[in-house]
Amino acid sequence: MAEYESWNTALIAYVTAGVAKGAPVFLSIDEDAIAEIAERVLLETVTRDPLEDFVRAVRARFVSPRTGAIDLHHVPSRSGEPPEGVGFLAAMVLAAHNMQDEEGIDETNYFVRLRDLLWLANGRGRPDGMPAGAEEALWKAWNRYLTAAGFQTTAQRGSGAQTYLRYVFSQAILRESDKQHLRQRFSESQLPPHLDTPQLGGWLSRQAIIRKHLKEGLHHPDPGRRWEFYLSAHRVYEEAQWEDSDVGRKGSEHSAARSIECGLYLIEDLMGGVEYWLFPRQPARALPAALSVGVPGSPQAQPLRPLRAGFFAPLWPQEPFVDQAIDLPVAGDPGIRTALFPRHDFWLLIRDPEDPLGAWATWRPYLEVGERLLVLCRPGLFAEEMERLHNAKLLEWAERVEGPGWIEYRGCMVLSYDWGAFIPNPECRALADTLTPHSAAGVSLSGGLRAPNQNAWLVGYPPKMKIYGFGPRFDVTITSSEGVEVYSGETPCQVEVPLPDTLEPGVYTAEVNWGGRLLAIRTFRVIPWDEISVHPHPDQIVSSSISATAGLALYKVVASGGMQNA
Amino acid sequence: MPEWNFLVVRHFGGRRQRQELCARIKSEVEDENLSHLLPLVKYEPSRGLEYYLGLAYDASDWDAEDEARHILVAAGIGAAANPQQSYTIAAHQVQTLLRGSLEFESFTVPIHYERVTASEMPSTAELLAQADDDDGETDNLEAEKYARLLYWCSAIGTGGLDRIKEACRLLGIDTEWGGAWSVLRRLALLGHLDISDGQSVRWGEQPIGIKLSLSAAHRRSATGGRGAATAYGRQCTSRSSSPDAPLLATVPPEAAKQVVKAGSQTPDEHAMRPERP
Repeated sequence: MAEYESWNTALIAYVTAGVAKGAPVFLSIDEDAIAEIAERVLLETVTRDPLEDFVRAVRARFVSPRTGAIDLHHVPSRSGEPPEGVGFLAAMVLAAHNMQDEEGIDETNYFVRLRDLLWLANGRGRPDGMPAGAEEALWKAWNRYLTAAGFQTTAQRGSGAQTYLRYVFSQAILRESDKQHLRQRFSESQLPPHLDTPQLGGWLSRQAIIRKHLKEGLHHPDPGRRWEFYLSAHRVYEEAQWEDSDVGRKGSEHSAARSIECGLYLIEDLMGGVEYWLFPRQPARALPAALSVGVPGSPQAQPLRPLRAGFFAPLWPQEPFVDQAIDLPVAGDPGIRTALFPRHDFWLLIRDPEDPLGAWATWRPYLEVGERLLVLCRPGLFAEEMERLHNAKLLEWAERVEGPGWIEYRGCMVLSYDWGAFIPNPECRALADTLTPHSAAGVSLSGGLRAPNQNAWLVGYPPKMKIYGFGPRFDVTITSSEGVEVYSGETPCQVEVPLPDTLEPGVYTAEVNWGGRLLAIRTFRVIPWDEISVHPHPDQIVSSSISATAGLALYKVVASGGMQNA
Repeated sequence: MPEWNFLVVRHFGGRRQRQELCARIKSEVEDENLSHLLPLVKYEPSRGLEYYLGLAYDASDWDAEDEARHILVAAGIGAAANPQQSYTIAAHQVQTLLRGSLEFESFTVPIHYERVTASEMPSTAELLAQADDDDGETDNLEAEKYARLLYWCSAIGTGGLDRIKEACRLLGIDTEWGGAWSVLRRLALLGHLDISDGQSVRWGEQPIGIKLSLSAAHRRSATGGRGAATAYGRQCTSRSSSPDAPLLATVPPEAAKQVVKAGSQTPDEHAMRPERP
């Protein structure tokens, strides 16, 4: 049996792997995830059924062998170190995943599942040793750890009867019964192969689904939670797609190999010429490995160089629109089968979220309200649909540029919330759905000195806040993690509000309300200077030309190329 | 994602009464602060007295349909309270179902389009032609700003002159292209960064290195952004090597070996622990 500490460490590594900094992390652990962790992440060998091994480890750590009661005391959580209670929390979420769709989310139903999972004595309600709220300290420690690591937290406290259960259900994504439903649906619909996650998510969101938990997840106003449902559904789709294939099962007993999904990265020269490059995204929940990808038309392979958490560096120039999806072989990890460049009819590119002057690329699969974007589409039907959207005053752009086989709309902004009045061309429904605002308001943070990849700004140089929304003004509050309100007021739309430069290091949450309803939430950090992280993969610029001597005629030593006169 | 449905009811009235009714609905929606759930109303501009009217609601919100019924009833359409006399229809089916042309009234406020004016960045050749425009001495406050800039460069890793310029502005060093260029060239000459060829300036942090002084053999300076001083902050002393230069971290001989060893590893994302400037 693997030690509890090993499971705990492996679980943290698994749920944060491949997640871009600033993006949300979900502790959505189900039986498939436990099997995958045992096979690919856990450092110790599991000799029996992975689920049984995990449960035994959790019991050994948290269940008293004498009384059979749960003991959540003495769970250390030191600042900056992985909290020790994650394994127990994962077991709680696993129990929620085992619930059936028709089961209501109340304490009685849920704790029956938890007792069953952890082999506890039968009974009603919370198990012995676990009074209401006993587990909250573990959730708070997990949230603190994620925030310090630069991720967005997702586990939230509820209210009323769901005060503490809300933490668990906010992490549960696809239940086992939802997966069964999706397998059947994919099979009946005979979906084409090579759909990527955005395409599958778009297709699912257009289906009439009556299962309450699944429907809520696929239409959730929080884009991060909705995307997590899409990702989980895509895993089910990939398993179904490759279940008859030998390559699909390579190296894996419990789960199918997955794909690296590729998007586009715009490289622009000073003369205005543009080139689109293949931009691979690190697959979620796959640990870093030395990977290489086959170059089309060549026997050679090219290494996949990490760009930052969540992304590999762009590979080579790529036509944005292809007739058939491109499947490239990937070597280096038996859990990863191919790199997939899908057949799209349009792409949405946004600015590098870490650099307001950075590259346009498929950095994020969903849009924030008020976000500026570059729409790239095929000529013909999709270009006509863009004109219709423009004429309906739903969309505005600064410039339209035609290229070989594509049309670019630069500086696009979605202006209206009235997409319910627009009847899209049925063949362009996916474009309209992708551009439709998911929320009536959003928070934008810009300016200040940003510490990259940490969702953080440096103390003394906080960001400016701007609210985008479809009302004249919104109620906005910014609260520190200690509960101190640092900003509160009715805030007009699209007006930059400088945040006080006296903000102390800490975690802050901005909430936007309209008519008493919470419409948007944004967490950010202010960090002291000594918490800056060195960039792990800076471009190695070594130049022996005159510009590298900053314009001064010097004799200099160039370390990489020997001694030269400049 | 909002799932737009319409609560559709049959009603009677001329063109003016329809517009007045829509104005009442709008007022009710705005009074209840429900524009985000009930963003618009659609109606048939038909010639007869009978027409259909639909109030859009976000079906992904479980309360929205009830709110829509409540608003229509409050505006004077009693039939909306009765599910037998009203219909819920998906947005894309409304046009087909009602057949006639439709007008609509929105309850939300559109976002203003923001135009961006790009600033013109000078070319590398133009920058190279400029003289160093900073001839002032560096006091302690300036030195602190430079040290911070260098820490920030280490975190960013790579960038263009525009990012240096913006960081300099925030740190209060200089705001002009020439000033930012002066800073960048000094960081390059000190070995912290290097600058690429090309039309526009691009800089990259240099790998960790140790600079030996020919005139003072005992002196070793860490170069390569602040990465060099990362884990050795407590052993390094930060000081200016010249009056108008950024701070340098001077490394004791016994720590230099460790610095070199660290330089052979990926610096990765270890937190920097330099001495506070």
